Formats: sequence, structure tokens, C-alpha cells
Amino acid sequence: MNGSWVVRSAMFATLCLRSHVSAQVPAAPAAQAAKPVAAAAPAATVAPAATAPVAKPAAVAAAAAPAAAAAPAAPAPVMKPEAARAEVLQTAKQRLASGDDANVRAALQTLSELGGDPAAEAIVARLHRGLPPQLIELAIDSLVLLHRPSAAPALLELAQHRRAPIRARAIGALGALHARNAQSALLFALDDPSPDVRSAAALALGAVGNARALPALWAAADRGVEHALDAVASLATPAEVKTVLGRAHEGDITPVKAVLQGLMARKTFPLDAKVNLVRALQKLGTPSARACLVQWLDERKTEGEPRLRQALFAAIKQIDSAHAPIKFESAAAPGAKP
Amino acid sequence: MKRCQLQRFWWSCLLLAGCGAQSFRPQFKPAAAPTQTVVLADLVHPKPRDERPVVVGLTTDPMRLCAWDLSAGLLWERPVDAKSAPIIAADAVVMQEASGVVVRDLASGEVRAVVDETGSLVGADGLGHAVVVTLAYSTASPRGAVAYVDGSSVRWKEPLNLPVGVPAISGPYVVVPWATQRLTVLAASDGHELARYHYNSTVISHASVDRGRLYVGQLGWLRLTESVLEHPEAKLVAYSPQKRELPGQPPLLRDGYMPITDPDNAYHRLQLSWRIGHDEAGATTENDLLWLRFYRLLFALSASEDQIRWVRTFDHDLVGAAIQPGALFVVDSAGMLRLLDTGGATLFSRDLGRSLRVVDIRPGAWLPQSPAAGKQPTELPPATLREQLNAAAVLDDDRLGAGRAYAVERLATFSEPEVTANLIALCAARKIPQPVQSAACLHLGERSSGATEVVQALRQRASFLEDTAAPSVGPLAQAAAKMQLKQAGPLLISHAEDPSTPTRDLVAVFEALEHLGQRSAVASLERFVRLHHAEPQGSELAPALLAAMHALGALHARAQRATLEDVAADTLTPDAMRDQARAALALLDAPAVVPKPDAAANKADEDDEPDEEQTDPRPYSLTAEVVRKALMPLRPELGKCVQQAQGAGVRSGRVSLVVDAHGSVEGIFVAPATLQACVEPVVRNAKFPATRLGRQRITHVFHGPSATKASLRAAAPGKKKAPRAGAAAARPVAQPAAKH
Repeated sequence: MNGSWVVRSAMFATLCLRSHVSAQVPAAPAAQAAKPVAAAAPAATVAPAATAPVAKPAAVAAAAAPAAAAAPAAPAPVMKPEAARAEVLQTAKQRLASGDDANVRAALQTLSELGGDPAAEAIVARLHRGLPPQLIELAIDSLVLLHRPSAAPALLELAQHRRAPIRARAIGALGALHARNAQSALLFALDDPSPDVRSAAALALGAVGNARALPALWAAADRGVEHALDAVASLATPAEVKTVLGRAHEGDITPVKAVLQGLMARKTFPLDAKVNLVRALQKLGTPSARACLVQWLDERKTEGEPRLRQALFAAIKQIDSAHAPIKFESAAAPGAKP
Repeated sequence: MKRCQLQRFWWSCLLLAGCGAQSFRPQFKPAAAPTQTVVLADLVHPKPRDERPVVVGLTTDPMRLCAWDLSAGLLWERPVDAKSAPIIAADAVVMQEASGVVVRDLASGEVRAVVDETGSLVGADGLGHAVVVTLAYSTASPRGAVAYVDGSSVRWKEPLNLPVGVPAISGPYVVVPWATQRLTVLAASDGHELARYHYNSTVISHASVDRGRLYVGQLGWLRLTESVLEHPEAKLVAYSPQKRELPGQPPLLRDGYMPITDPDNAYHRLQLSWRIGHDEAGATTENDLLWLRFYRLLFALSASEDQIRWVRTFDHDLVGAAIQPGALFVVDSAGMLRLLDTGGATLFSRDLGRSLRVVDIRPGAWLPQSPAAGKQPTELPPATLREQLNAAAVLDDDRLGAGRAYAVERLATFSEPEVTANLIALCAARKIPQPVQSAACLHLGERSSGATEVVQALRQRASFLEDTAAPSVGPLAQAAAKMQLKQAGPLLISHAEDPSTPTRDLVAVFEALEHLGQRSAVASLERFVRLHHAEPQGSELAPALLAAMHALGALHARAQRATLEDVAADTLTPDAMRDQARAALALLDAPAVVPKPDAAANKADEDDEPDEEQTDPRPYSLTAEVVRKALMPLRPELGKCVQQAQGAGVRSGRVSLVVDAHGSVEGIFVAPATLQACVEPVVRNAKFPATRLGRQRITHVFHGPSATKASLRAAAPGKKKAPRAGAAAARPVAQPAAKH
């Protein structure tokens, strides 16, 4: 089979498909959509102008524009969406199976735009057979774009790749896909020798983990793992507040401030728990606790729960009154205003 | 007639030597009257010297020259600007100072004479009030000089445009080696040359008088006798102890044509000392010992064979040594003088009260009063040589790299299992000089004893959170393979999958798995090959990939044929990998070679960890048996998981668990990953007994109900009876994740 024929037919099918399946394809990030579709350019010579979709990537549209002028008067045969999609998928699979770096890249691009479980499965199958490192990273990105849970096993396997950047990417993808059953793998990754992987694992645990991950996350935080405290903030329950504040050394909440900030900002953290947290800080009454309360009040000056604002205000006032400066009359300058 | 021939011969020698040296244009005066016979008789029988027992040393800041009488204490102390180590010569101290080569009075420290202002001190010797000094110049002419100091004045000085070596005074003569192979005898009275010899068969740079004998040499000592002087053309063999490779490669004798190095030069702390002796059979080494000083280490080496007798470690560098019959004087940089016996025990010590850069010790015939007469040694080296070597190997001092590595090499010659433990610790140490670690790892991989220690070490695991380091997996894998440690197989698989295991160690791990016939490693090997085979040309993973594919072939992993065929056909894969895949495919179909069980394997299989005696009812760790019992109820469900995944070609799975000290499962990781969703909820409910060890990582292999007898046999090599079909066959192994 001639390679250029494959490319042309694939792009023809892709462009045909755009108008019909664009609604089904998950929206790609803007950056992704703006990327030039390498394989699309040659196909534009045969693409019917009438089929150019409104929502297609700019590069594709630009490539299609000159083709519109050269389009024949007779309308091109319109393929059924399912058939076109199947053909694109089939072509992409063939290119994915090829031993050519450019073909594999183009196929990954096509499949990530195509969307759906079959596209994800095709990428997973290709990953399962093994790819060079740079293509593995691209494939992981494609799986994230496709956002299919069926990609999780492949990502779990890649989480044990020898290359730390690939492990970090796979771990990040597991978090992005909210992969169920990934917590154990993520906990292992939290102990990874690479700081990037540990950091990615902490972030992912914040997204998909549960309270069982908290001891490990605390241990990670103690060892300086980036994002570990953010993850704690994401997973901690109201019952954990005591544990969090227990880590404040002699009332200094600086080490756990990130967690407290996260809890206060978290929408899923109950209001009652937030109010209790404010009261707990008021009880601490330390300068760092007061500074934190002041900051929270400042952030909620114009919006936020009135009850929380009220609690914040009261807590600060209470701390201030408890630590009011002692007036020394003799020290006052003569003639100074009271 | 004979006398006449001898005379003719000597005349010929002198003539030839004179002609031969003419090309080097020596500036010694022509040889004087033919007094060889007289010279010979006086020369070779010098009188034994009766010398004061002294130590002369240079202190650290501020730099001072100090002298101690061993029997009386500090003699004097003088500020100096020394450029070389001091040399004790008769009743003087000779040293290169800022003002030149200076001769000081040993009794007072006062300057007696400045021999030369531009030359560098090469060597010195003395007798009575006379001191002979040889010098080297950086100029082309003269290259060297011999100076004779009598009392406070330089009586004569002879320059030479060839280098001169270390001189000696023997009676009324001065013996000077020069130009590598020449020896000249000068009259002490006026410096005129009495005789000259050319030794073609040996190198001479030193002359020395010791206990009434005159020696010359460089690669060993050659005693000057009438015969040696009469037949310089004969093939002469200098006596030397057995030569061997030593750390720092110290010579038997320093290069006698080179100037004495500055006081802070490492040369003074890294030296091989020995003293020639004589018995009925001829030349010997005093005490039959060589003493290798290596900063803070002192090795006593057998002179006649390449063996270490004992090793001692010190708190401070040894900056000087002198050998006595049956003993050795050493002085360390903190100023502690010790007398050691030939077994390494300290018989006597005295604090000199100064921190020292370098010392010269001349004990003469002095010994402390009855040091061995019922007096117990004040310091003893560790009881056994093995312990001494280990103490030297672990001494925490980065300068000692080569010396410690030497100790490790010698330690490895012991077959005790404790040595395996020592080598494991050294090989895994984080902050250790590279030569020491390399030597430890190299010899660890060659061990054939210490199976328990190897398995125990393999049970350790790197953990960032627990701040524990990975064991030295590569050398341990090599040792396990050499010992045929079947029980190490699952641990090696676990390490192969651990990203903390260095890539360089993977080759040894895969080779060990192949050598051990570890069929349960096939899935892990296949996954490694599948995930990484398309690594670019020159990838650091390439050797490991080649080893993994070879192991797959050698283990006859026919179920992995598809993967190998994929690799062989994949154009994204480098050619070397594809060729190896083809070779592995060929191996797959080759007839299996059943490894012959040897005694070591049987012994290793029988090795069970002895449980220590203690009162705590909790088991120390989760043993294989405990794990098997805990997971027994889950086998049907695990089997179902495999069954569900059989469509994807899955026939078995492996679950890695982290179990805390209370027996609760903390983390679960399943391979292949497709089984994770099914297996995790099942295993999550497993309950293990609490242990004293703390967190442990468990690896557990399970099979599906449709596992064939062959595959189960493959998974459990050596067991003829396969588990009943329909039940999950489990092969657990436990290892500590990290201690709390």
C-alpha cells in the first residue's frame, strides 16, 4: 500500500468526519487544537470544501482553504459518519502499528482527536507492545486527552517504567483520568526515588486518593515531597483537623499553613468544619494563627459565607483582646494624646 | 700469580670505568693510588655504631624542629623554616631549610654549617663528628655534589655533572652511588676518589651502614663484600622481600637520586619500611616483616610471602617509624611514640607533647626498660586478622581509600559468613571512597558462603519515605547465583521491578534469575522487555535488555514468544535488540538443560532463618509460611481474577503488598496491571499477624484455575507435584519494606 495514499485517505476521512463527529469528540485543550495537524496538510488537496467543519483546528481550516478554490463542481461522495470514523480508526491503527516515528505520532494525533474507547484501546494496545520513550510520552498525553478509564491499566504498567519522566507522566495521567484503583500505585510512587515522580504522585493522590493515603502523605510532607500538603488538604476530613493542628510546633502553624489554606478553600469541606477550624486557631492564639485568620478574613471581605466571616472576625477580636498590649502610663510622652 | 692477575684486573676496571664515565664527564678527580686492597678491607667491615637514641621531628604550626632523647626526654626546640624532612646523621641533624642545606648539632640544635645554599638535600650519613651530605641541583652542570662536614666546617665538596645518591660513611671512606649504576669510594680526609665500580646488573642509589655491614641498592639491598667489589661485572642480585602490589605503590627504598620531599608531603605518611638483617643463611628481613604505613593504618606484612600478619588502626597519621629486632617504633602526628611488638601490641608509649609533621627516629640499641618483662601490652589490635581487616576497611577517612580497599581485598579471602556480611555493609555504604566500595562489591559477587546474609540483605528495600537505601542488588544477585540461592529469586524479581534498583544492577539480576532457573521471573522479564525494547541506540538500559531477552530464551518462556517476535520485527527497535530477540527465540526452542543440583544449592535450600529467642509472642517477620496461610482463603477469588483476564493471555499474577507492623495491608500493587481492579479488593481484606519487624513488603504469585500442570511446574521448579487445577497456586515471599 502506498504511504501517501494512506495519508491522503486518512485525512480525507478525518475531514469528512469533522462535521459529523465533532460533537462526540472530547474537546481538546486550546493548545492541542492550535497545533498543526501534520497529517492533515496533504489531505487538503482532495478534501471537499463543503465538508470543512466550523470547529476544526485552525491549521486544518487553513490547509483546507486553498482546496476549496480547487474543489470540483460535483459534490464529493459523503460517507456515513460511523463508516468514516471506522475508516479513520482503521487507518490510524495501521499507522500506529507501523515502525515509523512520524506515522506513529500522526496516528496518536488523529486518535486523540477522534476520541472514544476504540481510539483509547488502540493507543493502549500500542503502548502494550512498547514504544520509544518520546512516543510513550506522546501516547500518555493522548490518553489523557481521550480521558477514558480503560487507559488506566496501561498507565499503571507505565508507572513502573525505568525512565522517571515516563513514570511521572503516567502517574500524572492516572490522576488526571481519576483512575479508580490507582491509589495503591500512587502510594508506591510516593516512595519513588525520583522527586518528579513523588511530586506527581502526591498531586494525583490529591485528585483520586482517599483518607487512607493520609499517613503516607504526611510522611511524604515530612520528607519534603512537593504537593504532599496540598494532597493532604484535598483528602483530609473534618476529623483530621486535630491531627493537622497537632503538627503545629508550639502553636506555630507555619508548617501546616498550606493544609489549612487548602481546607479553607476547599468547597467540599463542610462549613461547620471550617468554623471549627477557625475556633481552633483562635484557641491557639499564636501570631501565626492570627495572621492566618486575618488573611482568610481579608480573602472573604466581599464574598463567602457570612457565618464564616463572622467566626473569623470574632476569632481575631478574641485573640487581640487576649493579647492586648499593657498600657504603661508612665511611659507615655508628656502631652501625648490618649 | 693470582695476586698479579687480580691487580691487572683492578687496573683494567679502573681504566674501563674511567673511559666509560668519560662520556658523562664526571668531575671527580682521577682515581688515586691503587689502594683497592686496603680500601676493600676497611670498607666492607665498618665498625658497629654506638649512637644516641633520639627522635627528631618537625612540629605543626608553628613549625619548630625538636629533638628528644628516648631515654631522657626533650632535648631542644628551634624555630625553623624547613623545606625537607630532617635526617639524623651521627651527632647532627641535616635538613633543607630556607637558607640552604643546614647541618645542626644534635645535642643543641644550633647550626653547625650551611653546606649549600642552592642545592637540594638528597641524603646524609654521619660518623662521630663527620657528616657527609649529597646534593642535587636543578642546573645541567653540576647535577649533584658530595660535601663532607667535619665539626662546624665543610672540609671538602665535590661537584659532579651526574646525579648522586644517598651516601654512607664507612670508616675513613665515603661511599657514594652515582649515575644509577656507579659507586665511588672517596677518602674522607680530602675527598679524592680511591676506587670506582660500575655495576651493570643492578641499580644502586643508596649506600647504608647497618650493624657493621655496608649495603648498597635501590630495588633491594646488596651487601658490599670483597667479592662484590672485586667482581662488579658479575651478575649481582640484591636481597629484597617478596614484591607485591600495595596501596599507594610505595617502593622498597625511595629513589635515592631524588631530593628529600617537604615535611608535609604525603610520602612521609605512606611508606613501606623494612630493615635488612642477617642470619646463618644470609640476608633476611628483620622480624620477617614489612611495615606498610598508610596514614592511620599500619599493615604488618610477611616478608617472605604475600600475606598480612596483622593490621592496626590509629587515631592519627603515623609520621615516622624505625625497626628494631622484635619491635617497631612509630610516632603519630599527635606526638605519641609507641613501641609495637611483632604481633601488633603496644608495649610502650610516650607522649612527646608536640603535634608533628614528620619525624626521623634513630633508636640505636635503646629499648624501654624490660618492656616485655611481665608488663601487659597497653594496646592490642582486635583478636583476629579478619576483625583487624574489617576495622581497617570501615575506618572513616576518605584519604584511606586505597588502604581500605587493600584491607577489603584481604578480608575477602576469608570464607566465614561474617565476611559476607562485612562486604554487604561496605558495598551498600552510602558515603565511602569509591575504591573501597568497588572492592567490596566485586568480592561480594564472588562469595560462596553467607547465604543467610545475602538473603537477609536482599530483603531490604530502598524507601525515600523511610530514608532507607537500596541494598547492592547487583553484587548480591551475583552472590545468590553463585550460591544457587533459590529463595533469593522472588526477592530479585522484586528488586528488578523497583525503580530504586540502579540500572547497572539489572544485568546481574537478570543473569542471576536465569542462572537460578527462576521461571516465576518470566512475566517480569517479559514486561521489562516489552516496555523498554524500543529504547534508543546507546541507552543505558541496553545491557539489561539484552540480559533480559537472553534470560527469557534460556528459561524457555514459550508463553512470551509473541513479545520476542514483536521485538524482532519492530523497526522502532535498535538492530542489536532485534538480533538478541531472534537469538532468544532460537533459545526458546532449544532443549532445556536441567541444572544439576549441587551441594551448595541443597544447603541453601535447607537454610532456614533461625528464629531468635525472645519473649515477645509476635513473630519477627512475615515468613513465606505465614503469608501463605494468610492468603489461603483468598486463593479461589484470586484464581477467578486470573480466569477473567485469561482472554488477554494472563495466566498468573503477582501482587506486591506493603503490610504494616499490625498486619494491615497498606498498599497493593498488582502485575499485570489489568488485574489490579479485580485483585485489590480481594487482597485488601487479607489480615496478617502483627510482627516485630514493622512494615514489610510481600510478593505473592498466584495462578488461574486453568493453569496447566506444566505452567504450575514451571512456576514452582523442583516440585514434581503441581497444585490441584482450579485452585490458585501461590508462592509467597516476604521482605521488609522498611523498619519503623
